[in-house]
Amino acid sequence: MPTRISDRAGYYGAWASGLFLTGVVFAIVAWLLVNGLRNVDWTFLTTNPAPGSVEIGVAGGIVAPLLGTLIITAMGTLIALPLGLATAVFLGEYGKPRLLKQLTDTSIDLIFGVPSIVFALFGLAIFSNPSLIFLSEEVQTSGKATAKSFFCASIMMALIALPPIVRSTQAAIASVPNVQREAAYALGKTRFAMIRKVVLPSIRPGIATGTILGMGRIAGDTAIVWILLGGAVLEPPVAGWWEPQNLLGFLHGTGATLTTYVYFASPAGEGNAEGKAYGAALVLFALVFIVNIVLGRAGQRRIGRQ
Amino acid sequence: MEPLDETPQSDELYQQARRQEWRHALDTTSDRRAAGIPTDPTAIAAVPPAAPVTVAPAVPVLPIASQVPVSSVRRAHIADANDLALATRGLRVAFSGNEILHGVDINAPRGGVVALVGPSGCGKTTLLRSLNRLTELAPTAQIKGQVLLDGNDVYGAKVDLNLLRRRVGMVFQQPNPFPMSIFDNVAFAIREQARKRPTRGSLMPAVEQALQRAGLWDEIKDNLDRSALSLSGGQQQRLCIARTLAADPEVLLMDEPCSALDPRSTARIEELIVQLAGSLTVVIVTHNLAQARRIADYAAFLLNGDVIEQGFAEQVFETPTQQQTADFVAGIFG
Amino acid sequence: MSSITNVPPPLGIRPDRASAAKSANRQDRIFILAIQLVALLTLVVIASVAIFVFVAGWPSFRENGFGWFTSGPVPLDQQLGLSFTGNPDGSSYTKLNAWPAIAGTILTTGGALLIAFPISLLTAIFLAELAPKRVADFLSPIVTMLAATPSVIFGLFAILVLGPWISEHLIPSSVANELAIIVPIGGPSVLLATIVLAVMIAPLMTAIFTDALRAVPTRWKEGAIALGCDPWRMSRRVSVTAIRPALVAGASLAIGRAVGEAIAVSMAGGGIAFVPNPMDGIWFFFQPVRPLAATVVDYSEGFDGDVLRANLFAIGVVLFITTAALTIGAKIASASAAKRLGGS
Ligand SMILES: Nc1ncnc2c1ncn2[C@@H]1O[C@H](COP(=O)(O)OP(=O)(O)O)[C@@H](O)[C@H]1O
Ligand SMILES: [Mg+2]
Repeated sequence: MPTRISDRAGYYGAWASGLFLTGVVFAIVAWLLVNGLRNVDWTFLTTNPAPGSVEIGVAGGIVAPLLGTLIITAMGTLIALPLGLATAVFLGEYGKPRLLKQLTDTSIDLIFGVPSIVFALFGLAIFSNPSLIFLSEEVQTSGKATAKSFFCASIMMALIALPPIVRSTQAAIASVPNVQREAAYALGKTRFAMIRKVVLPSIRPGIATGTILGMGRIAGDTAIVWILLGGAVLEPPVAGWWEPQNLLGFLHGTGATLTTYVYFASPAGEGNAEGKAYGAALVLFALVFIVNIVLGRAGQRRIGRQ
Repeated sequence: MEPLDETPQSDELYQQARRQEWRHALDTTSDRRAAGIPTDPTAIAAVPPAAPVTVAPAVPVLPIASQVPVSSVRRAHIADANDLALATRGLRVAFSGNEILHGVDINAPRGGVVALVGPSGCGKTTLLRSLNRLTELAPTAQIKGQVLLDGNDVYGAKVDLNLLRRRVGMVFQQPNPFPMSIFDNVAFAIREQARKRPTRGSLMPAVEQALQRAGLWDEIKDNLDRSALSLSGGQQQRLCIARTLAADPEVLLMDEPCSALDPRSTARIEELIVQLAGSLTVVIVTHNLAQARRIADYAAFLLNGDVIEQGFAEQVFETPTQQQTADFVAGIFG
Repeated sequence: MSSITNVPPPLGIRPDRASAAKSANRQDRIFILAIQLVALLTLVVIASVAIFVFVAGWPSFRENGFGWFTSGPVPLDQQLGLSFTGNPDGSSYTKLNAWPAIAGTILTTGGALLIAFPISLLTAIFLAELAPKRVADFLSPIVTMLAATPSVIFGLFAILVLGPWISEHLIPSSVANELAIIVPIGGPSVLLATIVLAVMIAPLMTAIFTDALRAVPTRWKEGAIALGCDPWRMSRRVSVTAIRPALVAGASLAIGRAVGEAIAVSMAGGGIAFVPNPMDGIWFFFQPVRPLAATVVDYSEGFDGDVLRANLFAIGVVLFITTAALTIGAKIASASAAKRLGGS
């Protein structure tokens, strides 16, 4: 291999670094599997968290947090997807006025770069406004809104899912050959029809990839949930929350997700239940892993086939 | 200087005069050439037949050797037409099982300019890149046969690839200066060979010499720290030649070095190639027959991965023995 | 004939505005207006983030002035507590000297970058240039997986595995007892927070660097190889030079991520707003920190208190400005990269 000593060091350093990072992933996965599987069983997956003893603060399972993660991810993605698509189409297909394009482009970069804790603060600042009480609940003493609800958290989650959706879609739009657009125009199609008939069908894999990345960001975020959904991990959702008369109330209330559950159950939180934290962390990792690798691969394969 | 590309190909006299001009320019720089016989196309017939082909000691039997036309002239700057700097023997190259070269035997006499001509897609680039083992960068490539550099197989065991590539330099079709200063580009290969980090001062003579040889020094000597990417296309290509010369190669491979350039820059580079011949061996791929006629001492005509004909350039271009060559030279295809 | 004049020009060619407007029909105009409005919305959102967070945090800056960024006689954690409860006499406590949190952010982020940058660059070179294609194809998604791992899982790993291991094996109890008068030292510490951040930002930088290396034009790579470089020398001398802007962009984004990471750092940092003291030698590394972002999470129960709320929002302002500046820096760097690659 390289003859100079510094080159040798760099060459083997590169191998070592690559294998080291891989090793870190395998170590974390192995550690999660070993400790998580020990604590995951059917009851863990099917019961709600409950207050535990004095030392171990959390008992029961993770139904409510799991549900919370799924709901927040679904709602956040539902809000982000149309906005992200429209923004991507604007940036990739239209882009006028130029100033608006440049500012929007920078905004998306900023939304990607600004940490979620700042968005959590932002949510707290706007959603506590009394005029937005319909998104959460009223604080009796001050007349302000609590700013803690599935709605509030989902709206801010939509923000952090936006950049990956926009960028993936934009990249897909850029790879649609211009001849296809010209062909559509030659048939007398309007711009809208052209985008719907020509561009959208061929950028679906790109949209899927972006959505998956966005969902991963939502499911993995803790700060927004902690501040905008509440740290009340132990409150079970009302029975029959899914029934129409309860659903709205449920979504207006506080809750938990797997991330806040893990944080709460870890020694850093009040729950202090290692086993529960391991179990929930494994479930969370599995969710993100499945979404990213399995669906991500599928999306990539479809892109590759084009 | 008139753009040479506008010269009709048939204007033989003009080209001969041109060639002689360039050769003259070299007389002072190449002692090898100075010692030789003057290049005068009219003298071809007068020159006695070359001695029977003898093979450099390490070169195995040359099945192709008998094809070297015995009656042709020995070029002034070529000491011995049978002293091969580079040769291929039975070279086969395939990509994913699809054979592109079907056993190619090419001879490059030391100090000569060898032109590889042939229609597009016939495997010229592949052949050239196999000479310094760039072909194998493609994972799908399979290479069989021999490439002999001074008689030693470059595909043999224990070949130092990096040394090989310094001995056999390459200039690409697209000028590809690195995104660094002009100085850093030229000093690249020297720094690459140095054990310790050389100072700028110690590099300067070599950098200047390489730029001088590439005919670029006078134009850029005051701007050595400018980005190489700010140069014009023709200057970039000459910089790439300088960069390659700085590694002091024995053989210079050029893959259509002028195809991306305007006629004026093309003429400049052709001039340079003729000047360089003698001090090193040039193997140049060109789809431009006029160019090949202007600069080449030897030519090989490739068609669909086979060498149809090779030998002295005049012979291949003026009196081809094969019908396909004649058709190609006449511009019937290609 | 009219159908031809109605055809909007292809997008690659910019139509002049007047003719485009004339030819677009009603449906198109509504559609374009809609996507323009959505684009405008993203702009409004990011502007509102800046405004709302700044307005909410302003009182904290107003009360403390430049002192906000310095250290004060009262420990930061005590100040934050007092700003929630108020002074014993019932008046509100508005002092804030946030230097310990700022120092925590600088130390953990800087340390993480020092560790992660070389590892990421080397890994990227490995994946893009050195590893056999099969190995690279196998490892790339694994590194991506590391990037997608929720930060709370890293925090959990730190607090349950690395932290206990450090306090058990690396810190003699005699030292711990001796230093306990000043600050409790232990597993969760500036070192642990730094390691966690390094592991979190390494895959991010690796992904950016790998993409950039793969985008280096083949003609440059082949040029280097034809001059006698092996793949390592080629990467070092040509590719890394060519992707310098991407190195800046990737590092900026990574710093932004590290600065903004709240949960994992809150779990791994030890939970005390302390400025680790280099005079303590090696024990410096085992002293606790509570960087800016972690402070917001740790005090999130106290948003009802007006003064504490303003203090936490002021921290948000600092985080916003820092990360926004880093993002813009990264953007400028990548723009210059595009120019560089396209300019030849
Ligand atoms: N890396 C490669 N993989 C597969 N096929 C290749 C590769 N390089 C060249 N070829 C094929 O080899 C043939 C000859 O190409 P080339 O040597 O570039 O021809 P020329 O330079 O004479 O135009 C072409 O059909 C081309 O498609
Ligand atoms: Mg070619």
